[in-house]
Amino acid sequence: MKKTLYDIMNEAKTDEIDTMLENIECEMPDGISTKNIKEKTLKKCGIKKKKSRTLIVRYGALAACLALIVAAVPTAMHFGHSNTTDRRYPEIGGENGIYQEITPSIAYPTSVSYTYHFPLEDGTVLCKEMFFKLEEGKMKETWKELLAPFFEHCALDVTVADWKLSTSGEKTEVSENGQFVTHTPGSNTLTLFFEGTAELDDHTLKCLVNTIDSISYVKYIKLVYNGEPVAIDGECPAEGFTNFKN
Amino acid sequence: MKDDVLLKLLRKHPDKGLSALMERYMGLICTVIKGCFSPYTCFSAEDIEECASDVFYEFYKSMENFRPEQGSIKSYLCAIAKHKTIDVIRKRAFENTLISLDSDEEFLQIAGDFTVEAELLLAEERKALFAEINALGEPDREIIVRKFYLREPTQAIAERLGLSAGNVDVRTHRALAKLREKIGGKI
Repeated sequence: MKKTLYDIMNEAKTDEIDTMLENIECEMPDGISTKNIKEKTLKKCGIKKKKSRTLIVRYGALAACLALIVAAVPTAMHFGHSNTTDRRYPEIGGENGIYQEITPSIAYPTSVSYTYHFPLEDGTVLCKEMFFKLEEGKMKETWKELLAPFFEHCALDVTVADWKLSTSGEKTEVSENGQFVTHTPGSNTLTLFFEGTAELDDHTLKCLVNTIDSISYVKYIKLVYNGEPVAIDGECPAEGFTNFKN
Repeated sequence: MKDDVLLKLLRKHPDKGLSALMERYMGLICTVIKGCFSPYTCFSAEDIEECASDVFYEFYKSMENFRPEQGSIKSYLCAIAKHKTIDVIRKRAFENTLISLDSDEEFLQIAGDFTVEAELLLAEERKALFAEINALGEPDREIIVRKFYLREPTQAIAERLGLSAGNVDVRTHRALAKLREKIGGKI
């Protein structure tokens, strides 16, 4: 019985085709529904799918979102010290979270958004606004919650274990109205402690730093992963990382 | 995402893991299935979707048997896809609804270029053949894999690689001749 190369290829075992399939990528063929396959697979695997939202709910959610965006402007101005483009956390207080002092003039519930920098496989970056709902009396969000979307989007098994603020810089004495006043620099370094099993490459780490930078006011960001200080591009600056240019 | 991370995600959050798995490999798996079904008239888009979902389900079911040292998830899924499609084709043949689109001439032309005695083609020889394919260099290696493993049409390969269809055909012919020469009298 004669065999064609097609037949030989069909009979190939996993280890034999491994190298051959390197760098071979394919788009979805025309006319095939990704959604159908996903639904069928989840059903076969016995994984319950979240109930699909009706149009009314979807549009309702959209309208609510728009309302939240509108309401977010005064919040943003407050967070950003009346700077409408800067909505970053000033990092004040809290053992487990970041607390905000919100002026009573802000309408609740409201939302704030931060720019997340998601690393893409081709080395580029996807910048995406993520919204967080703020309710009166519950003005606390932890770094774990804030960075969960980042790791979830990248499908990385990493979580925030802890964080701390520290200060670099010295106290200075200046003369104000004939009197010497001591100026103590505010917290300017944020150290985040991560735990997980995923390997974090330089591109992902740069995106992570930029995401943290878009959320936080601090000047320097230090990362500690599984107890080890993180280096990016082989460097681990003592004062911490600053924003990376994309 | 690396395979070990994907496996951990599948174990920890099956829904997220499956979504990530499908997001990453659905295009490749559907192309493999479509390629295997392409010589026959009776397979619809729904058949491809059904078969693709079977492949991911099969992987999910037999995830614990997956051995990373034997290959990647990518090749493991492709192997499952090949077996699944062969099962479906056999089933249809049994139901007498299978009609091949391949004209004998076209199919035998390739077979005539590159045939083997099944008895002589042992696993070692097959490995040697694949090693030679890998040693062809680009873009010839990719052309051979896309044409004979994924069964993509010449035009589609040409568009993807930025070559003309004629160039793809010439490169295929030369690559096959080179392989035949390397493998010697066995093919």
